[in-house]
Amino acid sequence: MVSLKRFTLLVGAAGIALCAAPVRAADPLLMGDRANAGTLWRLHCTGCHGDASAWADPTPLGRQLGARRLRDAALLASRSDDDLIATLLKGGPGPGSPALVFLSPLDAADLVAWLRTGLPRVEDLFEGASAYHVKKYPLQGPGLARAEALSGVELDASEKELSVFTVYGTSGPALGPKLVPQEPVALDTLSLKDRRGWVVYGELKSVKGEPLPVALALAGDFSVARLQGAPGLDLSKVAPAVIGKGGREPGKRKAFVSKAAPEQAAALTRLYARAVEAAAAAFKEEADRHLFDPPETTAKGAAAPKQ
Amino acid sequence: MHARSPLSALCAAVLLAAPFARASADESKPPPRADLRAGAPAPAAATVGGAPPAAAPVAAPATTPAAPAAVPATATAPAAAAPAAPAAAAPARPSVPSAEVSLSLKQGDWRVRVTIRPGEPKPGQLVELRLDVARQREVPDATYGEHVPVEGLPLQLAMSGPGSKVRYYARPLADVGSYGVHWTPAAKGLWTAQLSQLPGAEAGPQVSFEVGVGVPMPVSAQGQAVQVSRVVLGAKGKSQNNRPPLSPVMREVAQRWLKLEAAAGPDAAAESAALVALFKAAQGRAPPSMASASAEFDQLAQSAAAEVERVAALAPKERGAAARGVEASTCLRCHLKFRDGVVEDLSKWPEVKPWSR
Repeated sequence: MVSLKRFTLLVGAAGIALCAAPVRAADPLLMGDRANAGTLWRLHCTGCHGDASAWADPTPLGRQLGARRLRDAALLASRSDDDLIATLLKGGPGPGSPALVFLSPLDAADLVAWLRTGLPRVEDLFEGASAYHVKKYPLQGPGLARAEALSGVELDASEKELSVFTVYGTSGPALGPKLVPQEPVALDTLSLKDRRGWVVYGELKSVKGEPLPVALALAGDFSVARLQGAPGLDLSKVAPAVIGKGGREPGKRKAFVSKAAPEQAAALTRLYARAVEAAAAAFKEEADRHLFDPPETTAKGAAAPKQ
Repeated sequence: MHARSPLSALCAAVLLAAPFARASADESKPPPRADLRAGAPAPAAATVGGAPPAAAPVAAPATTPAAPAAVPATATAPAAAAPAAPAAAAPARPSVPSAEVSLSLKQGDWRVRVTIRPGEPKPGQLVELRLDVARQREVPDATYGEHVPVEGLPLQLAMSGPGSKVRYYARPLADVGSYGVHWTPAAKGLWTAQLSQLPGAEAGPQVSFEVGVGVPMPVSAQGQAVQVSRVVLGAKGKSQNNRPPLSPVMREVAQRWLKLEAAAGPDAAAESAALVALFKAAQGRAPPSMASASAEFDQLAQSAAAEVERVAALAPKERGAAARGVEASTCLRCHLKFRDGVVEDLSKWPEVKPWSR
C-alpha cells in the first residue's frame, strides 16, 4: 500500500515536472541564414576579427586596425539589428572599420543573426520582456570601495565600468524586447511599475580556459534571479551558490561560496559586486527621472518591482 | 498560368546546368544555452552546452564540366579565354546569372508577389526570396494605384518539406512593402513555403507556395503564375566594351574559390583555370580612386593567380588550410587597400596602419 502511494506520488511529481518544463518551439524563428553568414564571415571578416566560431579575439592584423571582438554579448545586446546592419553596410566609427557595400541588407542581416547565435539574450533572462534600455555606469568612490570589498580584490581598470540593461514589461513581442534609446522622451515611455530587474554581462572561463560570455539577472531586490551562459559553459555546479543570493541589505551581499566550482564562484562574486553597484546607480537615476510622476504610477513600482 | 516559351525553356535548361557552390548547414535548431532560473533546481541538463555556430562547411558537389560546344560564350565568362590549365583541364562552365521565378499570389484583398532567386534552387545553395506585399484597394491610390504596398508587417516564412522545418523572419527591405528572406535548403525535393504574420500580430497575408529544390519548380499551383525571366546568353556582333565590371568578376572569384576547395581532379583544374582567367581579367582594373596604385593592384592579382594554381595542385584534404592561408594574406592585402580602403601602405605587411583620410 505504501509502495503504491509512493508510486502515485512519483508519477504525480514527474507529471508536474513535465508540465513545469519550459516549452520550446519546435521550429524557432530564425532571423537570418546561418550557412550564408558562415561563408560571408570566412570571406570578409575572419582576416581581422578572427574565427567567430571559437569566440576568438581579433587577429594581430585586426588589432592594428582597431578591430574588436564582435561576438561580445553586451555589445550586441546594446544595439538593435537595424543599427548593426547599418554599421556593416556603412562602416563603423574608426578608420579601420570598412563599409561592406558589396553586401546586400539580407547578407548583413544573416551576419548579425549569426553573431547573436548562442549568446545570452535579455529575453532569455527575463522571459516575455517587452523593452529594455542600456547605459554604462562607472564605479567610483564608495561604490567602488564596496565592490572591491565584496569581491576581495582590487578591480582592474576595465572592470571599473559596467553596462546595465534595465528590463521592463511582460507582453513579450514576437521579435523580442524593444531596445529603447537613451533619450528622455523615449525613456519616459517606460513605467517604473513595469520594471522587472537588471541584466549585466561578464565572462567566465570554460573548462578549456576559453573566456565565454555569461549573463547575470538581478531581481528588483538586487538578488540574483537568473544566470545564463554561452554554450560550452557549465554553470550547474556554481548555480546553487549564486541563484537567489545577494540582496539590497548589506548583510545579504556576501561572496558566493561553491566547493564544486570555487573559481567560477569567485568570478561571479566579482561580477555581482560590480553589477549591484552599477544597478544601484541605474535605480537611482531612474528614480530621479520619475521624481515628479504621479504617485499612482511610481509608488508601487518603485517599492516592489516585479520579478 | 502560362506555358513556358521555347526560348524560356531553352534558357532554363541551360541554367539548370550552371554550377552552383554554396555552403550548406542544417539550421533547424539553434545551439542550446546554459539556462538557470531562480527557484528551480539546477539540473545538469540546464547547462548542456551546444556547439557555437561554426563556419559553414563547404559542400560543393563535384561536377564534371559540360562539353565546350554546349557552352555559349557570355560576357561574364572570361574562362573562355583562359590559358591552358594544368592536368588536362576542361574549361570550366561559365557563371551565368540564374533565372528567377516570380509568383503572384492573392488572399482576400492581399496581394503578394514572390521572387525566387535563383529560379532553380539547389540543396546547400543560398536562395533569396523577396516578398512584395500589397493590398488591393477598390478606390485606386493616387501614388500606387490599385495595389498599395504595406510596410511594417511582422511576417514569417515557414519552409517545410523534405528537410527539417525552418521558420524565418521576413525582414523589411528598403522598398516600401518589400520583405526578404535568405534560405539555404537542406535537402532536395519540393518545399512548401507559408507566409503568415508573426504570432500576436494583428493582420497580414496568409499565402503559401511551392519551391522545387533540385527538382523542377512547379509550373502552376492555385492561382499562381510562373514566369522565368529571360537571360541573354549570347548574341552576334561585337560589344563596345566586353570587359565586365570588377564586382561581378570578384563575386565569381568567391564562388569558384569556394568550389575549388572541395573539387577533385579535372574539376579542380577547371576551376583553377577559370580563377586564373578571372584574375587576369581583373588586372588593369584598379578602382579609379586608386589609379596611381594600379601596378600594385595588378601585381596582387597576379600573385593571387599564382596562389590559385598552387592551391589547386594540392590534394583536396590539404586545400582547406592552404586556402585559408591565401585568404589571410594575398586576398586580405588587396581587399584592405583596394576594396575597403582602410589601409594605404602595404609595403610593411603584415604591419599596417589605418588609413586616416
